[in-house]
Amino acid sequence: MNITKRDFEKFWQKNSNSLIKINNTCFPLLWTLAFFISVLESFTYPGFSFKHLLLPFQPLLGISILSGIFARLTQEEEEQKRGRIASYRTLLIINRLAFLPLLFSTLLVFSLEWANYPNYVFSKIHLQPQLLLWPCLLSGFLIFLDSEGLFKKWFLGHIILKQKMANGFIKVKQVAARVLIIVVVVWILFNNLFELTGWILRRSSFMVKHPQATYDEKMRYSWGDFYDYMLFIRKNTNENAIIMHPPMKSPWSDVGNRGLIRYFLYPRQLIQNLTDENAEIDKTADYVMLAWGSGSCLDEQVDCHGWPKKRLEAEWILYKNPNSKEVGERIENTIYNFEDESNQGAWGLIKINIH
Amino acid sequence: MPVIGGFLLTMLFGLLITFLVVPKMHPVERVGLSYVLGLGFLTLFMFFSYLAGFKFNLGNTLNILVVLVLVVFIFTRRKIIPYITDLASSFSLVNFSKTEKIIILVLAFLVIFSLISTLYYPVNAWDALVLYDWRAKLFVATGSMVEAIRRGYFFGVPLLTSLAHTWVYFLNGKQPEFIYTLFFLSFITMFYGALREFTTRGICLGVVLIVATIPDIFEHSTFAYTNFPYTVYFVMGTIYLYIWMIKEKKGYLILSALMLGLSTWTRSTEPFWLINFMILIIYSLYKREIWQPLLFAFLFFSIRQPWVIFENSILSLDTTVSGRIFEGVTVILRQFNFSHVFLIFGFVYNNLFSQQIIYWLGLLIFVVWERKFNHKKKNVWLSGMIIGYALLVIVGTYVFSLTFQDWKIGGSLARMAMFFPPLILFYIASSKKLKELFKY
Repeated sequence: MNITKRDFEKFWQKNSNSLIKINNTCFPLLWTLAFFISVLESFTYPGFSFKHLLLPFQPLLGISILSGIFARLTQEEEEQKRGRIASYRTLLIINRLAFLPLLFSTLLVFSLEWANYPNYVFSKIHLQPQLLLWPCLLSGFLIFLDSEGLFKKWFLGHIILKQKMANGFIKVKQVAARVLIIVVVVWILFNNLFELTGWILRRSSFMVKHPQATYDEKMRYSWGDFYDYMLFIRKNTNENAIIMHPPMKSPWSDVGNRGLIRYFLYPRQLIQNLTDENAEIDKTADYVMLAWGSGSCLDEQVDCHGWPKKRLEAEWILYKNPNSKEVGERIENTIYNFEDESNQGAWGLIKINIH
Repeated sequence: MPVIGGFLLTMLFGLLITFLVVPKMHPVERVGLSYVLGLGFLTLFMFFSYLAGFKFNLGNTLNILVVLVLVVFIFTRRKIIPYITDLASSFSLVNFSKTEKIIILVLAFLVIFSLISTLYYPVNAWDALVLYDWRAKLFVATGSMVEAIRRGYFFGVPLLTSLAHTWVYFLNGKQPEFIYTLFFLSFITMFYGALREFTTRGICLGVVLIVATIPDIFEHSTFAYTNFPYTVYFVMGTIYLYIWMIKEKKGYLILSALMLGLSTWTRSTEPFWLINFMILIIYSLYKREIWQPLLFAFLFFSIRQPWVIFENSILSLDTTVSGRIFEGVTVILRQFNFSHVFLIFGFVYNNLFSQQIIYWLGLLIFVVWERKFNHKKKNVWLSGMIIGYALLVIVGTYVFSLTFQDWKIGGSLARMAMFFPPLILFYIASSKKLKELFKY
């Protein structure tokens, strides 16, 4: 069936009043639903409402915004014809009261996250700070609709209705296309900014709290205990040392990665058996890393932690203090046995006895 | 101070090259271009001089740079003063609307945040420690590549960023990541300038804001991975090729060949340039001017091949274009499997297209719109290239999945495909229909 422009105009003349009425009734409901879902997802995770309630938040948000703009465009004419639209007005009033408390609560949550550590808020009250920006956006959108200056003068006056035809009219299709494009652009921008906000907070929090941090402190912030361990190895071996380290597999994905550890240990020579944690210790090695490993094993049924899995005659063994680069204990002329109680969970360095 | 001086000299070198290649260009765009061209060619000449027997050190690098600046200066000296006047006048915001000023403020915030972040944090990203910065540290320590090659895992990625880090260390800099912030700043200025050829200032600024806030792009401006510099060279190389096709502007074909060449001097594994080359050949056949692909190929391969030949000579591997294509086709023909194709589609969709769905939908809508209303259909070249890259991603992932056991690295695919959103946005924003729609 072909629909001509004239058919469409006829349809619009006949049905525009009921469409406007339906939209004015639906908008407050849509907005409220979108708002509650955004709050719900802040306390759960993005996509929660779609998974459990079959309500996708992002499309609902887009529809709410388009419906809101349409409602605002037709509101004055409608109110002149039929009197005040109660649900719409009530929503605006409640939002006016709620906007500032909501904004300040969000800022407070961000400050808490910023002042403590990444994921602080989530670990305490199971709330994802950056997701709180969605309810703020929805609330801010109503303030925008409510504001004469922002909506009428700036949005309508400068962006949407600026160009008029010679007879003073505007093209409806052009206005609709402009509104649609601007809504999509704003939505993309907000999506981008939401994702960036969390990242900027994480990155800036350490900078602001430690403006005078040293290279080692910054690297420790980025790499954690692994960096301490690298400093420990570097401090306790000479530059021409040959060090054997664990294979490149779980749970030694960092200390087993020769490409990574060479950055910290150069010019020391590094050797390893790439895949087998039970392989013999290379006879050319002066030192062997004592590395418990971090993270899970490939086969979760078997505890694979702890390396080297051998008995070794050691000139000395140095055990590293937890959360530090310092030596905790030094044992001279001993036999390293993987199964000893003292080696469970241990990180350190073994100097092989070559005699 | 030595770092600032060294980088200003590098930019001067790039600026003089731009005068040589493109006579007319938006003055702000030229600033951005001067950085990426200057740094790209400086590192390339550092590599050439090493191959010629010179060691990596401050003296040699400075000599190379000064000689290059003097040589190009002889041909371009008359253009500098008018350019400075032109540039000074383009910084005025008098005619800008409030909305445009707010956008510029947000962009300035992003650049400043990125700069503070890169000046504060040392190089600490995994791949940078494993390869890019590691090579730079060894170049500085030993003055050569021998020790770095002997220690293993040296090849795979060309030397642009490693030699840029080396240059910072030679200049007594401690934290070379600021070069990525400068890539970011250059990118937004070049993108703005190029888009300004097609549309209004307001649309340009709005689109640049979207590009600058794409999380992958902004985050990559703060750490030392090669994906972002590659994206900058590749996107701008493609855009300049498109500008040359549409506007037939002098010099843009050369500029495109140089930028795409430098993209392969940043990362050589991605073969997306093949699509540009194919489209150029089709365009030239359509226009019946065969010299164009020949000139492009000469410039492009002059930049790309030295590293490829060097890599091949050390590794005794066939990493040539024909070798790679032959290998890929052989793999596809030998092991073609329909169920595997669906698996690949699912993987590429989940890790790439679904993340960028809004841009792809926009592309689809505007391709249809342009075809319906724009009878000249000029935009077909750019949309053709974008669709070609997408097909290449699917085919490439298919071949990769058959040759590598651990092929499901979604993050790596997303980083590689970072260039899609800026290109799609450029396509949409350069549409005549969009300009007419928002014409005031």
